[in-house]
Amino acid sequence: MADDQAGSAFRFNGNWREFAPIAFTNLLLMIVTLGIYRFWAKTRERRYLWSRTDFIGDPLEWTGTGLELFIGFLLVALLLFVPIIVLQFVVQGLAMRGQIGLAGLLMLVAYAGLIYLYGLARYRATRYRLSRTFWRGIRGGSDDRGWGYALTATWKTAVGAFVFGFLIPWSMTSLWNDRWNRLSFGNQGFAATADWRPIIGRFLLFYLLPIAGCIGGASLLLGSFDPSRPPNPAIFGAFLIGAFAVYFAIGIVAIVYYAAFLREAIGALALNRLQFAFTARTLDWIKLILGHIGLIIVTLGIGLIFIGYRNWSFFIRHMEASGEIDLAGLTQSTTEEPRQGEGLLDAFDVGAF
Amino acid sequence: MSEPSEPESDRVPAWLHDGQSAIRHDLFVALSGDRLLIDGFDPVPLDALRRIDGRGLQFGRGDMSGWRLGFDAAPPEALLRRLPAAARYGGPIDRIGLWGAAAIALCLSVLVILGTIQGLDLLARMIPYRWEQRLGDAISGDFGARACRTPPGQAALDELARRLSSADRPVRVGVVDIPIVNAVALPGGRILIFRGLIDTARSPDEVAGVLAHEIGHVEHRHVLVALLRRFGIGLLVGSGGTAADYGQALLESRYSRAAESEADASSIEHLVRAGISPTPTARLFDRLGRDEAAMPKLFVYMASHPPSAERRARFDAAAKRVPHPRPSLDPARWAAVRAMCGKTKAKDQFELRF
Repeated sequence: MADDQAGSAFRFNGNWREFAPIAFTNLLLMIVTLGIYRFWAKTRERRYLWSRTDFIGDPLEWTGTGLELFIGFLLVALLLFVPIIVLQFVVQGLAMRGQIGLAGLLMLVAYAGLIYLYGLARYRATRYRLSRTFWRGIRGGSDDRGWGYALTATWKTAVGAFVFGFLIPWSMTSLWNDRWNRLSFGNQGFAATADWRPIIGRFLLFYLLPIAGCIGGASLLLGSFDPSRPPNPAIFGAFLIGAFAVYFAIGIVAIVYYAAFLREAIGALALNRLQFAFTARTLDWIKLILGHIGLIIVTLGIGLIFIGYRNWSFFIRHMEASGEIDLAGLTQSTTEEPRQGEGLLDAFDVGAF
Repeated sequence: MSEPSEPESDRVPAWLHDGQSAIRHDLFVALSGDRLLIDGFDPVPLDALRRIDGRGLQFGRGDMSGWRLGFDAAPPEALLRRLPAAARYGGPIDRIGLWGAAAIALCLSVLVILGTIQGLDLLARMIPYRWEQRLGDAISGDFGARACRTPPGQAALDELARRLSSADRPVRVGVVDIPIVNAVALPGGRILIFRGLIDTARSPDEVAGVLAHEIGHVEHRHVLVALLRRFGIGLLVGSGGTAADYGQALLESRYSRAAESEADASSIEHLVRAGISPTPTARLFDRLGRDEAAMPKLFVYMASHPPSAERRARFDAAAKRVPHPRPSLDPARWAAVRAMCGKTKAKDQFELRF
C-alpha cells in the first residue's frame, strides 16, 4: 500500500489502528456532551491526520483549536440562524395576509443572500485551514477576507445556472481559480489556471442521460404495448428498476465529471515553482465510495467515524507535486490570521474541496 | 541554582524550525536552570514550551507562531522530565481522566436538558400575554383571502368562545377555508377553525368541544411553550446530528401528548361549566378514531395526540356531570356558522406549517 505513493512528494503514513482510539473516544465524548465536543473532536482528528501527512519528508501540522471552531459556530448561530428564523416568521405572516408577491420577493432576496454566504463560507474555510496548516514552521493564509470573492461567486453561480446549466463547468473552474489566486503559503502566492474546456465533455454526459432514459422507456413501452391483453406486472417491475437505474446513472456521471474536475483543478494549481497534481480517476472514486458504503453496512453505522480518515487518506494518496522549492526563500506568512473557525461552512455542511 | 548560562545537563541533539523560514536547523540544546539553551538562538524559558500533539517529540511556543523544537531520538530522562507533557483530549478532560470526564459531562447534559425544559416553561409563563398576542398578530395577520367572514356567523362563534373561555385570557376565533377536520391554537389566543371541521360536524356541540380544547391550549400557554422548546432545545442539541433529532422529536411529542391531555381536561371543565354536553365531542373522537385504528400501535407513542379511544372515554365519563345540557348554538346561529365559508367547495389543499 505504501508503494503506490513511492514517487510522490505527498505521503500519508497513518493507519486506522492508530486512529481508532481517537475516533472512539471522540464519539464517546460527543455523545455525553450533547455534541458540543464535536469541535474539539474535529481538531483532534485533524491533528492526527495532518501529523501523519508528509510533504517532501516533513509532516504537516494542524494548529487550529476546538475553541475557535466552537466560537465560529456560535457566531453563525447568532448571525445566521436567528435572522433566518425571524425571516421565516415574517414570510409566513406575509403569506397569511395574502401578500404572496412580497413574501416571494423576500424569499428570493434571502436565497441570493444564502448563495453569497455560501461563496463566502467556502473561501473562508479554505483560508482558515491554510492559516492553521504548518509545514516546517511555515503557514499559509490570505489577507483577503473574501467579501469580493463571495460577490463574484454569487454572479458566476447564477450565470452557471443559465442555459440548462451548460456553464456550470466554467463557473466551477473559474471560481476555483478566483479562490486559490487569493491564497498563499508562506510568502508565496498560489497560482490557479484551471480551464473548463478539458472537462466540459464529461459534463455533457448529464444531457445524454434523459435522452437515453427516454429511448429506453419508450422502447420498453412500445415493446410491451398490446391493447388486447391486460397490463403485465413485469413491466411495472422493469419501470421500477429503470427508476433506480436513473438515480444510479446520475450518480455515476457526477463521479465521472467530478473526478475530471478535481484532476483539472488541482493539476492547474502551482505554488511558485511547485506544480501540484491529483491522480484519482473515476474508478478510484467509485472504489472509495463503495468502500465507505461497505464499511458503514458491515459496522452497522459505527464506521461513519472513519469516513473522515478514509477521505483524507484518499486525498493525500492521490496528491502529487513536482518542481522545486526554495526552503530559504520560503519565509513565514505575514497574512492576517482569521480568529474563528469555519462555522459558516459548517452551517452549509459541505467540504471545502 | 547554577549560573544561568552554564549548561547543567549534557548537550542533546535536536532540530529547530524558527518560524521565520522553512529551513531546518540541526543543533544541540541543554538545560540551564528553568531555561533551555539552544545553540545559535536565544535561550527559552521551560514554561514557555508547549508539547505538540504531532509525530515524534515536538515542542512549540505560545508566543512564536511556527517555532518548533523537536528531537529525532528521545532525549535523556533528565531533560524529558522537565519538558511539558502532552495534552490528549484538551483542557479539563486530561486532568480528570476520560471516563470521569465522560460521566460528569453526561450528568451535566441531563441536568441541562431538564433545566432547559423547566426553564422554558417558566419563561413562557412569564412572558406577558399582551406580547404573545402581538406575536400572534405578526404571524397570522388576518389570513387574507382564506378567511371566512360573515357578521352573523362570526358573532355566533364569538359568543360561543366567550361562554367557553375565562375573562383573563380573551381568545379570537376565525374560520379559514381549508378542508381539514381540525382546529389550531396560534400564539396570542388566536384560534383557527378549519372549514373541514364545520362541514364534518354533526352538531354545534362537536365544534364547541374542539373549540374548548383549543381554548385549553391557550390558557396553559402551550403554544408559546412549544415554540420556545422547539428553538431552545434545537439550539441546545443542534450541533448533535441525527441521533439528537430523534431525541428532540420524541421529547416534543411526549410534551405535546401531555399538553393535549391537559387541554382535554380544560375542555371538559369549560363544557361542563357552560352546560354543554361533552357526549357529541366523544362521538367526534369515535369517528376520527376509526381512521386512527388503521395506524400501527408503534406510532401511537410518537403521535402528538392521545389515542382517540382514551379521549372518547374521558369525554363520555364527563357526560353525567351535565344533567340538563343546553345546545351550544341554536339552529339559526349554527346555520349562520355553517354558511360562513359559503356554498362553494373548499379551496384546494393548502399546507400550513406550525
